[in-house]
Amino acid sequence: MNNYVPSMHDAFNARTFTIHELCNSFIVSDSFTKLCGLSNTVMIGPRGSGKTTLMRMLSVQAIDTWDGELADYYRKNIPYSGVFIPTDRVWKSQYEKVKDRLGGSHDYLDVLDSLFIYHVLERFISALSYRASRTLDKKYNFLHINISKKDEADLVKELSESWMVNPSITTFKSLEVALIKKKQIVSSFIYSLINKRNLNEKPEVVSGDITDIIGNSVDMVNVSINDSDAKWCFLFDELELAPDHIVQPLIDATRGRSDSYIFKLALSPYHENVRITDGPDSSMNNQDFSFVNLTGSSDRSGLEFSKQLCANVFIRNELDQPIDSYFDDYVSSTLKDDFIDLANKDSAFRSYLGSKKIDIDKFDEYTDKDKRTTIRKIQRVVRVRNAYLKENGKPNSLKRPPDFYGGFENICKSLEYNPRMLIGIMNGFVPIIKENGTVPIHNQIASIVKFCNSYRSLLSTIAIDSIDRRFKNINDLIDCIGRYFQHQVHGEKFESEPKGSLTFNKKQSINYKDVIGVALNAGALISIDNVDAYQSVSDITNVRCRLSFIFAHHYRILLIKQRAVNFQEVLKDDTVVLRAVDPMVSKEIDQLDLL
Amino acid sequence: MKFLKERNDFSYDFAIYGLGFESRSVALLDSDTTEEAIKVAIGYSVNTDVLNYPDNKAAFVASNCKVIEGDDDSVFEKFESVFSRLNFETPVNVQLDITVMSRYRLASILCRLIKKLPSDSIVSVVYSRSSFVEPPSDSTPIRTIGELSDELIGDVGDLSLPTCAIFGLGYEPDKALGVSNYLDSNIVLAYVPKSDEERFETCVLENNEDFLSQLASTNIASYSVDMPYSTYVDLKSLIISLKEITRPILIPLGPKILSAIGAVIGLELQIPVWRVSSDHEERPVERPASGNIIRFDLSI
Amino acid sequence: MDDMKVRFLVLSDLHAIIDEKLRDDSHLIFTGGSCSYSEAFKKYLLSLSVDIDYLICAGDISNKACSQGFEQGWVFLNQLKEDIGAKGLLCVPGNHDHQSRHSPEVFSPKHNLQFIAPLFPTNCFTKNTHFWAWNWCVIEEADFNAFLINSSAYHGFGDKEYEKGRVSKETAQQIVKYINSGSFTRKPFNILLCHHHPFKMDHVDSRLDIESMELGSYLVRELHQTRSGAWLVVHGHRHYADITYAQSATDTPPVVLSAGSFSAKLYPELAGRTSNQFYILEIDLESTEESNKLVGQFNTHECPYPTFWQPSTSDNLPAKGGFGSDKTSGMIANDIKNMIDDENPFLEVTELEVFRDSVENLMPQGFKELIKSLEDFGLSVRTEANMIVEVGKSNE
Repeated sequence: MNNYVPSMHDAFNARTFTIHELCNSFIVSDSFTKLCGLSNTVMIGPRGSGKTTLMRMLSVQAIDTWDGELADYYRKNIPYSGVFIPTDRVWKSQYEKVKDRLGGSHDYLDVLDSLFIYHVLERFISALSYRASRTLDKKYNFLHINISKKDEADLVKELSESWMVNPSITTFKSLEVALIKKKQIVSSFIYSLINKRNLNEKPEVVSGDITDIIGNSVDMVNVSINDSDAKWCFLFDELELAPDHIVQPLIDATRGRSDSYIFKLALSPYHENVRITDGPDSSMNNQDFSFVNLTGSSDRSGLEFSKQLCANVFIRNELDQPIDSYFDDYVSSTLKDDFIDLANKDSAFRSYLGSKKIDIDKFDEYTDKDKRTTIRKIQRVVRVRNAYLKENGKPNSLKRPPDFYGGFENICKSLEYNPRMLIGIMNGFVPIIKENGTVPIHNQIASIVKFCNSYRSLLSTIAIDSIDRRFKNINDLIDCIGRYFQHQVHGEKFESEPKGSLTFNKKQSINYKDVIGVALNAGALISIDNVDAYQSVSDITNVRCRLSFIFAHHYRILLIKQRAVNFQEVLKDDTVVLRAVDPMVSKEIDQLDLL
Repeated sequence: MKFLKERNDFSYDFAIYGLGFESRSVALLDSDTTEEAIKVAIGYSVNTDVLNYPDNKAAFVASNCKVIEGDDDSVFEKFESVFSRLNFETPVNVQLDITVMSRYRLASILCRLIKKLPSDSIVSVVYSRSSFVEPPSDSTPIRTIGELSDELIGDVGDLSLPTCAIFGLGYEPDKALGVSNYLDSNIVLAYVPKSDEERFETCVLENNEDFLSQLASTNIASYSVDMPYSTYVDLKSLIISLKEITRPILIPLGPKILSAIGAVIGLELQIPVWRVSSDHEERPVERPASGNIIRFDLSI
Repeated sequence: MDDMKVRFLVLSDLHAIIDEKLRDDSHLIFTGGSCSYSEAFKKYLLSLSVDIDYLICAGDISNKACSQGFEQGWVFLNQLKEDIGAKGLLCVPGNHDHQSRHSPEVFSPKHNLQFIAPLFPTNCFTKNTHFWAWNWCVIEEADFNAFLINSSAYHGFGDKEYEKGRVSKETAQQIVKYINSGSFTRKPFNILLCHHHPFKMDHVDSRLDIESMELGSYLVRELHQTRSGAWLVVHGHRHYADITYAQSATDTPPVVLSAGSFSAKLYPELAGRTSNQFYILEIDLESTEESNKLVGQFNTHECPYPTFWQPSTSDNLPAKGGFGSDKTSGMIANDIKNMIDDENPFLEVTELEVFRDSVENLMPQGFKELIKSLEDFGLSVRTEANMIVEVGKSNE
């Protein structure tokens, strides 16, 4: 929109940024470097983790527009032309509804499916047209193609015959327009069909296995441009939102090796309808494809990335000092003070110290060879536990979370280094900085609290079913888990290594795997371990996960990875069955549906 | 079809009411304009013994209304059999009282009327606004998202165009937030309902605070609940423009009059119009009539 | 102002209201002096970063003769002029601004307009006196003369006079006499600003047009025949945007801009065919003076949503267009055709650059005519924003 101004949560959505905006704000990460390789790739990440940004940046248009030394490096080293292919849930929902309406009528399913195929072909031609353009003022001419008008016309004729479209002029641009028009014709035909209106003749459409269509098209192009070694990379974003029976052939195609094209596939962590490592014909990790995991980044790389991202947000608002300088740090108590304080209040802690033969009076004398290691190990637990106990050992209900949840690094960590959330919260800090010069700690804490509450509201809208109606939405589930972990830290017994992550029992996982999947996709649960190897979440016994750190202050828990507990123990009930609710599945509505 | 600007008086040949547990169900029953009309009251199969349902049913029966009860499929079948008996050789004037109808029903019936009535027929959609009632205190999760009626599925559309979700807001906490999160649409616009009962608007803004905070101020507008023509013109103009560059989808939460207007626009412009329902743990609540009757007229 | 160009911001038919109950009529609702519609418009306008020299408003500032609405609208226009740094505001009243229906409180249709502050329609008491007395006045600026006509002058008098506009023969002759006198200084062009349309517009909707300005065509003809420079006619009233050349016996006809409504709610028959719009007109002074006809371009912006503006997506009027091209569409089509052959089967935007000025100064209908001519030659055309970006042999 012409005058769109991002606000606190920032409807930042990479799909709406122009290429220039995208390139100007892009931060290179390890994940991007991995994606540049000449292999099929599967990338997973929850909402807002940067999948779309990365995919778009790999498009040939973006690589050609991107300025800077780093950009030059990547232009020299990216060996393919990227074709970005977006999808979205609204489209998928419409597609599924129409498909239901058509029933088993195979006569028209090919017409419906052609909508997606033409979408892919349109994107392909858009990339080709860009590479071959004689009129665009391209700065870097990345993978530019010199093709004569005659050759262009001949190629367009060949492609349009194969694709059943009729461009008005035999140019790439007109072919692109013809594909758009074809989609409109197909869409109108489908609409008339399901509304039982006057039907035009069934349009002739391209049909068949999408990988065959892509392969043949790429080969035709490469022959025409006299570059049989040319590589094309199809970047499928949110692949789980493409039509189901089109998705699986794309996944399976990553098993084979084509000379002329590769696929990069972006998915949410949980994608029930997409089998990557299951099945006899499926791809095998690390043999057929590389894997990029956007969840659970290491703190070091996550922080580095966040600093750059947030600095960009501030620079756009004319704040160009080092990012850390804008955030007041919290004044922390010393470790010794925390230990003494807690020992005075908490008999459970005293018992623990006694069991470990740690004498508080000798605190300063301990070295790494004796108790110092233990002290270091439990320091975070001590700090958090101490903050929530009064002098008399009774629970302390603080008006706001303790300051140690604040600070720039902890904010980034709390938001899981999620670009969308970081941009949202940083935009909220801009007016505070402009007024005060820095963001005071209480503002930082207030922002995290507000973000968390807003996020919890959102999770409350995601319905789940449980037999005993104990859980009605994802927030209920998170709350159950959060309270368990809270008790680990603040319970009657002092736990030196409180549990703070979940594993899943193979036998019972079938009772809740889709709900866990929804929570992972929403970013409420974060998968940890095995970050470099693909693990199918459809078999969640492979998965270990924790609560998002955004809940850390709310449940008064730690901002670190903690040891695991079986999910069954958290539920405290072997019979619990949880099911995700798919809102797109129709149900009977009665008069209570008044609002 | 024309959405009429001027308000004229019509006598109706056919009057369709909703039979529900709210007292508003019969607010428009005794009217001069429907004296000679064939009357139908469409009820439900559940909650038929709560609050005012039995009394309302008796009132409809006493007014010579044919009462049809059941689930959606069965009532539509019975409705069709009454409706098809009308004389379609001349224009037929129909009053459709949507006050206690579910959105699915009001949209389905309205779409059927628009498609089947002869030219120059009039359809008057009427709605008896309620007095202020406190909104539910907690948000309830989204259980169903689907088209407002079978006719409003809309075009599949071009995947290359960004999606644009247009929300009419209601005062249920976080409902729009949930749907918006689910759809993850590229562009989101919001319409806030306004009326002379300001408490409704206050609740809408409070209970959608998280949702609205995500939107730029230029993406938020308001409409008057009592001025359906104005709302129709605004919304239609908007969607015509948006169709050039996006795939618009309309989600009319809140006052049902917007769902009815949305149904008209959805048919005219072939865009998807969706409804949303939440967890049905809500207890039936009485919402008394405020005395304000909202009406718009369509000339077929 | 660029040395050789002068730019106008044109608004018309604001129909400003203060009463929420009239929301069916207009988007421009002032509550406590503020209005979100106008705020969004100003923000958008400023974001375009265009230097505007003059602001033009073709009347119907208020709605149904509401004097408070008029006051708010008039204050808005004056403030807008200041905000954009324009040198002048050219404005005329419309039928909605005159209190022309009889009622006990109203003793003159134009009384409120005469006594409003700031002065209306100009900031000069003497000119206003002339305007109210003779139903016209003239404003002389550096590069143009502007003739303001009150086409609603007779509303409130004759039976059903309020249904249409009117200029009298005597008024027309008075203006002609003025132009032919020593008091008139010739400029590169002249503006005729009136509320009602001087030419019938039967194409707007299904009704026959009975609202046009009586003797409007006579007035325009007489003015044009003074041979006093190029003419731009700007009017409103129909809420339907269009741009045409007036009927003329010369090849330098006046340009007639029928401005759409800035903020009135469009009735359904119009809603799909035009939109709420404003225009930025750019007159090329050098070409205008050389050719003795108005040469320039316009940009149209619309408001599909009460707080959101964008370049027009409507055909009436499109986002970009022009007037006064040095070539006809046929001539351009032939030139293009002659560049295409077997060796060069299509032309792209860089090769079409040579035609840019000629094409950009075609009227929207002229542009369509150009496309049609090319298609008649067996060529296919791809366009973007009123420019041809690709043309070539049709693919069979």
